[in-house]
Amino acid sequence: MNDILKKEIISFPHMGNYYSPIYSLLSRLFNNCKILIPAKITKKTMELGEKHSPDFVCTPFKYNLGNFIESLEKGATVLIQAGGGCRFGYYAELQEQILRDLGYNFTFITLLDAKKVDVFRLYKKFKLINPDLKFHSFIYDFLLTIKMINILDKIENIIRENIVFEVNEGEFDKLHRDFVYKLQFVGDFKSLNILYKDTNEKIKNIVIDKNKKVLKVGIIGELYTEMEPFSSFFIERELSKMGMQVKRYTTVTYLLFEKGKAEKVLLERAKKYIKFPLGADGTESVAHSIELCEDGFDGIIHTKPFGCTPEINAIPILQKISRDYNVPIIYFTFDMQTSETGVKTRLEAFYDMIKMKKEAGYV
Amino acid sequence: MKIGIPNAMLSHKYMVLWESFFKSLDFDVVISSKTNKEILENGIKYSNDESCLASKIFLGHVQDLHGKCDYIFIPRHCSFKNNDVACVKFNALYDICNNTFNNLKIVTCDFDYNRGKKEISEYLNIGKSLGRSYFKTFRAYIKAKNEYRKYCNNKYENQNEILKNKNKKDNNILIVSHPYITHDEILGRPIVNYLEKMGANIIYADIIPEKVKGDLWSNISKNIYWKYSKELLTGIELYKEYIDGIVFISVFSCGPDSLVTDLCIRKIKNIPCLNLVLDELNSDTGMQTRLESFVDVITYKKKAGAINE
Repeated sequence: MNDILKKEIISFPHMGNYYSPIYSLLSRLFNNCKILIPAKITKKTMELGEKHSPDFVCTPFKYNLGNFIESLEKGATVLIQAGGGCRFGYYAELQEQILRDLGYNFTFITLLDAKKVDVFRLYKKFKLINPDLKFHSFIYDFLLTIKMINILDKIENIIRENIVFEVNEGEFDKLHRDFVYKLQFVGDFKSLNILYKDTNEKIKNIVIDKNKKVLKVGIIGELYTEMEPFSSFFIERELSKMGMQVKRYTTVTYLLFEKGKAEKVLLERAKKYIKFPLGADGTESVAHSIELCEDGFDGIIHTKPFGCTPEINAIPILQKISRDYNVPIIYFTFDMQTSETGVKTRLEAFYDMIKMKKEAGYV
Repeated sequence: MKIGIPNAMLSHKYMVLWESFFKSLDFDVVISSKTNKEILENGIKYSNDESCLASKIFLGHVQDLHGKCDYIFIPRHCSFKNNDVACVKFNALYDICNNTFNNLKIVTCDFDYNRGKKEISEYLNIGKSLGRSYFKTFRAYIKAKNEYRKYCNNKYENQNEILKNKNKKDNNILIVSHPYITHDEILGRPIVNYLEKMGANIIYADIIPEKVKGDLWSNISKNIYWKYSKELLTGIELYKEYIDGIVFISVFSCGPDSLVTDLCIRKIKNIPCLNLVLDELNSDTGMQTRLESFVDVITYKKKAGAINE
């Protein structure tokens, strides 16, 4: 394995557009290796992942595994998995075992051990792959990537809020694609700032019609289905097309930096309904739905992959909130068998329902 | 005053401790009846359809106790020493029950080590919230804890006795599943009874001494952090020399089991394993066929082994 002549190929699982900053980070950290962005998630990825996964594991496991298999087929030799709370922290061990049982040969790296980021251990792990890695550049690159993720989240938030008002269809989409593509090749803070300013400038130039009557909806729920559009059949795009303005809380920036601090505030906000944290993102779902109801949103969309325990915990409480505030909440469960048509039909019905409800309110 | 304890979920593990604790505080303890069809149906009615079967049964038990006692004891289990955690289902049981049923009076406590809540202080809080003195609660806790320790060790010794006295011809089958599945009247019992009827010797992986030296679980899984799954893995490692087959029982859409069982089956190479997943639509016949063929496999394997020797 320590063959110096052989060039390692590094790959990682997909989640939304975050592949772009991750690619940038890895290509700077491991300049002796090739970085392979996994193939875009397709039906085939899902099928591959499902075939080799345990039956009733939560759906992100299957997507991640599908990504890994496709990357290994393309020649990847190093796989990176993040790890986190709830079941996510245990994905790595089983995925490694499954892939080894399938006969692949690779090195597996987990970023978080026992739910904690240990910078020095991470550095040591990375140094095994790239012996020339300097500690200061390791820190610099990490900080830069965090900034990149932050800016990506900011831009995506602006787009999410405004896309429904656009006059010429497709302008925001094009700008978004361009931005994500350019982000991959950013190498320092200066060019990152230039890109950010540039994109902001472009966003201002897009013609929008703020007088358009739209419905306001919030998306809450489990993080993967919220952030990986394929796993929820591009629900956000679907909503904007129908004429709904979307608000979403969960982003990687939020998960990394704000979640820890926010817990007490969230519990305080939700104290009428819950006494203890519900585990993983359950508390967020409850507190954010209360916030959305109080802010006068017309409807709430709750998404989760099949078998997501924390979100199932939150559902009885959300139902009560929905009754108390008289705000409709629709629950979507996504797994391998969910049909896209079914989701669309339900969304359309939901849209009609909240629209009628609002019109009746005006009378 | 009557305190009700639902006979489901972690009560199967801690019943001795809790019962003794509340009795020492001079409360009457009401335990819900063993799981039956009615409780199961009520549980399904009251819970979200995607919840795991064990938690549905739990809600059925709470409904069974509703009105029969002054307070129902529903603790929250979250994190323990050494960064162990419980399944997130246990984090939310209190809030789920509180939001599902109206006018439910609940006594609760929060076992959350990582947020600085120690076990003993939580028990003292229970005493305080029920109007018992600090000293009395403390004594009750110590007494209950001792009883629980004795109970665990007794159970372990009994099981060891069975292992020692076993007939070499008997099939020793290890049941690996959470206590609230193994010892539940509807979930695990029928399986255990059927295996016993076929002449198998049943050993439970959830019966382990209170303190086990060394990290036995790490032989199977290095990163596991669910406390109760960890204990089951310890059980597998403790008994693996004596057993001829392993039956994994999990309930449908159980979070930790969906990953851990799969890993176990992949890692345990030389012992035959059977994985049973229970849901509310189970058929007895289907399960019996699988158990019969599994016992056959073990028996033939043993015979073949004996000939080879």
